[in-house]
Order: sequence, then structure tokens, then C-alpha cells
Amino acid sequence: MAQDDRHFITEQLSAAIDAQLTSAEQAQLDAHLSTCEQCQQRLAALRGTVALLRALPQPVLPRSFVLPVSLNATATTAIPETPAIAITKSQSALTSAETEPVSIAAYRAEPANIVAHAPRSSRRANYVRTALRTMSAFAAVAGLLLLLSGVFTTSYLTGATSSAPAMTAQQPGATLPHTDDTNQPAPAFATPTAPAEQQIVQATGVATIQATATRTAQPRTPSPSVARPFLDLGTIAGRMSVGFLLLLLGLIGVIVFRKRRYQQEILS
Amino acid sequence: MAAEDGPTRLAKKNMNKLVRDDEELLIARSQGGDVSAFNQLVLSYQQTVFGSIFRMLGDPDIAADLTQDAFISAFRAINTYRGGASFRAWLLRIGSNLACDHWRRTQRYPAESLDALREEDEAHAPSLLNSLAASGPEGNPEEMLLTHELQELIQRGLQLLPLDQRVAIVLCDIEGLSYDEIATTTQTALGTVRSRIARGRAKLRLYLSQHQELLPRNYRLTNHE
Repeated sequence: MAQDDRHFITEQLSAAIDAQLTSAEQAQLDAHLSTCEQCQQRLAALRGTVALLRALPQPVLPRSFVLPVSLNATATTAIPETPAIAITKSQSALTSAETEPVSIAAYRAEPANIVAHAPRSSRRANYVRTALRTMSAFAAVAGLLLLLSGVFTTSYLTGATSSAPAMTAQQPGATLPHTDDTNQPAPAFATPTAPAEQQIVQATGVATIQATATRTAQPRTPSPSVARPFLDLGTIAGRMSVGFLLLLLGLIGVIVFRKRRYQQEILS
Repeated sequence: MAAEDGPTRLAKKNMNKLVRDDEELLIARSQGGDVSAFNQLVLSYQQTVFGSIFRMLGDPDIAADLTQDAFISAFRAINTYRGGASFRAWLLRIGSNLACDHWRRTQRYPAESLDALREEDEAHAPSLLNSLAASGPEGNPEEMLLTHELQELIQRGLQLLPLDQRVAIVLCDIEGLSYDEIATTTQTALGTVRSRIARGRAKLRLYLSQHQELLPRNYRLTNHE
């Protein structure tokens, strides 16, 4: 037969090992093998490979993977009418002895269908988490810097050193007319009132200009900042308050959006 | 020969599996939130899930973690399981998805995984050795060593295969799934399954034939193509 002379491709030989050929294909293969030594050898080599794979022993289970029975509580909340079913002897023995302490309440809380949809949505959620975590970290660092700048300023001034070159905000605070209302709430970030505008300007550009301009004069009478508004960036206390708030918010953010590795691995 | 071993092996593996009706009952109870019922399914399938993930990745510790994750995920998603399809294939789909994701993640950062490997090489060796069950006779250490070497050689060969072919080979030749079940597990067409298995076997044969000295006499593979 002319067809019997053609060699069989590997895919056909492999399928023949698993009895996946149609009866017609199988008949053709049998006829061909009776005359073709090359295909016989190829088939034998493939069979040998399969036999090696099948001869591999099953790996030893490192532990049992049964879930904690305590999950029943969270599970039955979904379907409350489910009656508690008696556990068989062998089952109770296994579950009590081999249950691993795995916290699964969090997994159960989320809606299911992991197989099809979870990877993409969890990946998107991860991006958001990462962004929020990064922003929180930045806020914490900025807050810390502000806080530290306030601390150093205080130590400089209380130490009564002769030169205070970096105290840009404190010096104009002494020279510029400031609102002394203690009760004025957060002027630096509030709607622009007249004093607030003044302070914003002061906190940005003018402060440094003033600082350099007054460097020669050096008015070294540090005005007490107790009377300054609460979140005034122009004052030490204000800066420290803002810094403290930023640090606090940042730390909370970092903690809330911290990496949840275990969960990520499951869902992705 | 090997072809005749397939169905027999499959039947043996399924002997300790639950009767189909019992399994359906347990699945139904699990869908009602009964962990105890689900744990019976876990006991029936944990060897299969762990074994397949271990063969796909070659690391018993990671395989154990992913197996636990797979069962947790399966319990969570049990309501999405529709009867009719093989429950084993459904479970293995979750397990192999986790294994493939892990493989891709670690392959994406090869330096990191290489470092980890170097760092934990010593610590891992006994763990891996313990996972490879001893099949040789106790009294003959030489044969034991050969067996372990051969197992490690095959495992290395498996890990060199492309991921899709490796998954197909593990499910077919090691776990004994039918082509239909593999198609369900990997969500591919039967023709794709057939071709992946064939290509994987051919590559593995080539790899193993380069280490003839480790192969048992009756498993010698020819290089003839």
C-alpha cells in the first residue's frame, strides 16, 4: 500500500500510545509498523519515555491539607438553612488531628469564581494598593521631614546660637505682621482669607527672600510661636503639627495598604 | 507494555477514590458550606493535587503551600462547580493555574529565583529527597541512589519543558487523566492537548536519551529519529 510507506508523525505515534487514534488510523499504523523499523524504534522510544514517567512514584505528602472545621461558621452564614451534618468517625479523627491553622475567613468573605476572573481583578486591585501604599509612604516621609525641621529649628533657637541661617520661616514670622488669633483654624489650607494669603506667600517665595535679606540684620529675637494658628506652615508649631498629621496619616496608610503576600499569591 | 499499563494504572489510582454518587453528595454538602464534607474530598484528592503541582514545579515546599491554597480557593469557589464535568479536573484546574502563575512569576524575576535557589540549595536538598518516594529495595543503597538520580533526572527534564507541555505531560502521564479531562483542566481543545503531549514526550525523550547511563536497562531509549 502506498500509504503504509509514509512515516507517522510523532503526534500520531504519541496518540497511539494513549489509544487516541481512530480505528482506521490505528489499522494504518499497524500495517506500517510491520514493515518500518524506524517507526517501530520511534514508537518504542516514546513508549519508554511514557513508561519512565508512569514509573515515577507518588511524592510523599508533607502534611494533610484538610481545612479547619471552624470554617463552618463563616460558611453557613452564606446559606443559613444548611443543617449541621454529623461527621463520620474517620473524618472527625482526621480533622481534629490534622487540621492546619489556616486563616481563611478573609478568603471566604470575598465572592468566588477564582478560576475564571480573579487574576485580572486582583491584579488591578494590587496596582491600586501599591499606588496608595506609595503615596502613604511619601506622605509619611514628608511629615517626618516637616517634623524634624520643626524640631531642629526649636533646638537651634533654644540653643541661642549666634547664626540661624536655615530658619527661613521663623525670621519672617518675626518681621511680617502676623495674625495672632489663636483660634483661627488652618489658614494655610483653608479658603484664602487675607492673613492666610499672607502666610502662603510667606511660606513659599517671600520667606526665602526675606531670609536672605534679613541675614545681615539677623533679628535674633525668636517670637514665641504659641500664639500662631494651628496649621500655619510659617510657624514651627504649625509645621510640626502638619508634619505630625502627615506622618500619622502616612503610617496609617502604609499599614492599611501593606502587602498581603499570602492573599496575593492565592488570587493571582 | 506501557500502553496497556495506562488504563490499569488509572483504575488503580481511582480505586481509593470515592464512588461517583458519594462524591456528588459531598460536593452538594460542600456547596452548602459544610467544611467537613469538603474535607472528605480534600482527603481523596490531596495526593493528586499535591503530586501534580510538585511535578510541575519540582519544589515540595512551594507545592505544599500551593496545594493548601488550591483547596482553600476550591472551597471558596465550590458553588461555581457545575456537575457533569470531572471534579478532579476542576480541582486540578485550580491547582495547575496556581502552579502556572507561580512559575511565571518566578520566571519573570529569574535573578531573584536563582538567588533563592542558591541560598536555599542545601536546605532544600533533603526536603526534595524526602518527597521523592523511595521505590528501590531498602537493602541495596546503590539501587536507591540510582532511583533517586533517575527521579531527579526526569524531574529536571520536566522542568525544562515549556509550561503548557509540562502541564499536559504531568496530567496525562503522571496523574493519569484522560485527554478529555486534560482539555477541561487546561481549557484547550482536544487537538491542542494531543499535540502538547506529543511534543512534550518527544522533547523529554531527547533529554533522557542524553543520560542513557542513568536509565534502567529495559528503559533504554534510542536516539534514532
